[in-house]
Amino acid sequence: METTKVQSFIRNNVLVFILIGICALFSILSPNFLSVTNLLNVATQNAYLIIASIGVSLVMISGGTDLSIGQLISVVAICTGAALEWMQLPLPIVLLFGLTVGVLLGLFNGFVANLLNIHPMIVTLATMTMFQGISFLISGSKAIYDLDASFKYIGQGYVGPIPVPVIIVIVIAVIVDFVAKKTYFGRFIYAAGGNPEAARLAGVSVKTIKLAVFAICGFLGAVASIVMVARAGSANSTMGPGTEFNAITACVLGGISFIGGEGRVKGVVVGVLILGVLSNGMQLVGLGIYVQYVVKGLILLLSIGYDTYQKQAKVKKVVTTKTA
Amino acid sequence: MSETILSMKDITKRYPGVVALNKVSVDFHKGEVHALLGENGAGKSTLIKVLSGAIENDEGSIDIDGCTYEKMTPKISRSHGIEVIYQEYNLINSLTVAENICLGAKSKGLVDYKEMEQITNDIFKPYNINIHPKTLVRDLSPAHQQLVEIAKAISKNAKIIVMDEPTAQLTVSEVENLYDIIRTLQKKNVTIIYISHRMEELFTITDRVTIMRDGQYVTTVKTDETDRKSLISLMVGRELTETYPGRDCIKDEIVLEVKNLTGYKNEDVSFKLKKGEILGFSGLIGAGRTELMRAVFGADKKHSGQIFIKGKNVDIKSPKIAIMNGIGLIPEDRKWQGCFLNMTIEWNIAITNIRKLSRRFVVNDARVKAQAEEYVNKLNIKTPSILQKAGNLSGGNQQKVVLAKVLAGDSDIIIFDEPTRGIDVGARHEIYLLMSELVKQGRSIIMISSDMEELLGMSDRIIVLREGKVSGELAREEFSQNQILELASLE
Repeated sequence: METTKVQSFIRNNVLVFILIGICALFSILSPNFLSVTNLLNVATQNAYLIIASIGVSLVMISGGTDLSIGQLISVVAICTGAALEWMQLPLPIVLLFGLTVGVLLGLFNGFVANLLNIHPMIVTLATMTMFQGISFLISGSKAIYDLDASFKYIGQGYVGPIPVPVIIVIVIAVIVDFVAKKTYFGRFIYAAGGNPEAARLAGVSVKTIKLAVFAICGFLGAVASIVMVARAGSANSTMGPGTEFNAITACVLGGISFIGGEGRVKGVVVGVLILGVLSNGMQLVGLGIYVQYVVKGLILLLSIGYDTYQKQAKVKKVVTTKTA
Repeated sequence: MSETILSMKDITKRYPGVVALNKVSVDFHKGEVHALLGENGAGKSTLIKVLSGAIENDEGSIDIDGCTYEKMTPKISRSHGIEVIYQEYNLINSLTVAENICLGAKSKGLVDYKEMEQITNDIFKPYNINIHPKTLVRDLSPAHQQLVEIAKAISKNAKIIVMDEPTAQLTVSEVENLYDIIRTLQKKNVTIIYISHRMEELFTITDRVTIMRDGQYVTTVKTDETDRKSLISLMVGRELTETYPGRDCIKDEIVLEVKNLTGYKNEDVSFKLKKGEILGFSGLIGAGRTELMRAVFGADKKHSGQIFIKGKNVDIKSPKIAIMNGIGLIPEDRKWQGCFLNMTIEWNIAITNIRKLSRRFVVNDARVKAQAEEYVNKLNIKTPSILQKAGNLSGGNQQKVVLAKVLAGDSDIIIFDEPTRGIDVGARHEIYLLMSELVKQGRSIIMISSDMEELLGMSDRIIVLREGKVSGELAREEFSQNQILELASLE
C-alpha cells in the first residue's frame, strides 16, 4: 500500500520533479544558476507568460483554445500606453481601461464562438488577425516610450525582496486554482469541456460558461500585458504576438488536455517555469537560442508522449477490468 | 448437424487481482446458433476477445479446423473465418455501403466502383437486404448499419459470426428481420455465437445456451430443454423472481401536461402524466420518442406547443429550466450524454445539484462526499471507491451513476430513456425496484422502452408513437403486445 502511495505521488507530481531535476542539472553545470537573484529573475521574466497561460488554460479546460491571446496582449499594451502617455489619464483609470479592453476582446471571442457555434480555435484564429490590425491601427506602428514611473512599478518594483510581478502571479494562481477546483463555477468549466452535451443535460449553461471563460482569459491577458509593458517601460504593437504558442505549449506541458475537461492551474505554472528555467539555464551554459528551440520542442514531445503512454496503459487496464 | 467446428479448452485469463476466465471450455457446433449468457462481468466479452485474438489467454488452447492454437492472433482468427460484430459498429461513416463492405479486399490497381456495387448487391440478395450500395453509412439507421456489418462479415466468408447484443438498438420488426438473416446464415452452415441479455430472444433464435458466471463456465443446455427460470437461476446462481414489482400509488393530480407539441420530429403531441404514475412510451426507432422527451426537457427546440407543470405553464427553453422545475432526464446514450467519464463518481453524482451543495460559490466537499456515498449504497453501485473515475465502471454501474446524478437533482418527474439497455438481469431488477420506489414516494416516471416485456411489466399506461405522432394509448387492462405492434407499425 505504501509503495503505491509513493508511486501515485510521484506520478501526480512528475512535472515538479522534472523541474527540480532540470534545476539540479543547471546548478551543477553553471555556478550562476542557483542564486536567489537568478531564480527571481526567471520568475519575473516569465510572470506575464504564467498569467496569460492561466487564462488560456481555463479556455482549454472548457473545451476551447485561444490563439488570439498574443494579439490581445498587443492591443491592451497599446491602449494602456496610449491612455497613459498620449491622453495623460491617471493611473487607476488607465489600469481599469486596459483591463476593460481585455475583457471586451475576450467577450467578443466567446460571443462569436457561441453565436456562430464554431470551435473557439477557428474563431480566435480569425480574431487574432483582427486584433493585430486593431493594434497597429491605434499605434500607427509607433512605439510609446517613457512611461510613468508609478506605472513601471507594476513591472519593475519590489515589495521587500520580492518583485511585484511575482506577487501578482502568486495571487492570480492561487485565486484561479481555488475557483477552478473549489467552486461550482469551476466544476462547470470542467463539465463543459469534458462532455458538453452531458453538461447541458445536467443543467449547465455551456454557452454562459464559454463566455465567462473567455472574459476571464481576456482579463488575465490584459493583466499579463500590463505587467509586460510596465516591465519594459514602453509599449508597441509587436509586444505580445507569439505568446499564444508559448502559452499553449506551457499548458500542454502542464497537463491541460487539448480535448478539454482536464488539467490543473498549478500544472500550468510549473509548465511555464520548466520552459523558463530551460531557457535561462541553457543561456547560462552558453547554448544559443536555436539549440534552445530544439530542446524545448523535444521536452514537449517527451512529456506528452509519456502522458499519453500512461493514459493508454490506464485505458488498457480499464478495458481489461471491464471485460473481466 | 452437431459436428464441432470450434472448441475452446481450459481458457484462463488473469488480470492483476482478478481471474477474468477460469478454465472455461466450450464447444461450438457447425451451423448452430449458440448463445453466451451471463451477467455483466461474467466473462463473455473476454472469451470473445480471446477468440478474436484481441487479447491473449494465459492458459488453454483453441481447436479450429483441425488446428490447435495456444493463442489466437487477430490474423489467425480471421483466416479461420471468425468475425465479430461488436455493439459499436466498425464502419466508416463517411464512406458508402459498398466501400465499407469491400474495404480491405485486395483489388488490382484502381478502385472499380461498379464492381464494388456488384459485389455488394450479390451479398445482399440472398438475405433480402434492401440497401442501396451507394448510400453513405452515416445516413443509415442503426439497424441498417448492422446489416452492413453482417454483410461485411459474409463477404469475408465468415464461418463463425459472433454477435454482441445484436438487438440492443433494434425495434421489434427489425429484430424479426435479423432473425430471418440469422436463419439464412444457419442454412449456409455458418455458426452464430449470440450474446444477449434478452431472454425471449434466446428462446426464439438459439439452439444451445452456454451460461457463464464470474469468469467460470457453468453449463451448456439445449434451448428447447430449458426454461427462463432455470436459465436465470443458473446465471445468477440463485433463484431470482423476474417479476415486476407491483404497486398502487397513482393519484389524480396531473403533474405534467404536454399540449400540441411540435418539434423537429414530432407533430401535435399531447399527453398527461399523473402523480405516482409510470407512463410508458412505445414505438419504432425513429418514431420520435427520444426527440419528444428531449423537446419536453428543453434539450432540443420545439416549434410550438405548451408544457404545464402542476398546472403552471412553463416555457422550458433549456435543460436548466427543466431541472429547476423538477424534471430529470436519464438519456438513452449514457456514455456520451450522461457520464463525465474522466471524472470521479463523486463528481458525476454532484454535478446536477452542485449549487445546493455549495455556499455562495464554494463547494462543500464533505456534502459532495456524503451524497455520493449515500447513492453508491442506495443504488448498490459496485466500485472500490467513490473516487473511481466513471469511465472505469461497467455499463450497468455507469447507468446507476447517471441515475444517481438525476435523482440527486431531486426531480419529481423523471424521464427514463431505455432504462435497462445493456444491463444484466440482476441490475435490471434493482432498477425496476427503484422505479417502483420512486413512484411510491409520489414522483412520476416517463419511460421510453423498446423492451416489450419491460414496457408491459412496468408501465401503468402506454402511449404509442408512430412517425412523430401519437397513434394510440393503452390503459393497463388493454395491454397487449399485438396491439402495441399494430399501433407502432407503419400502414
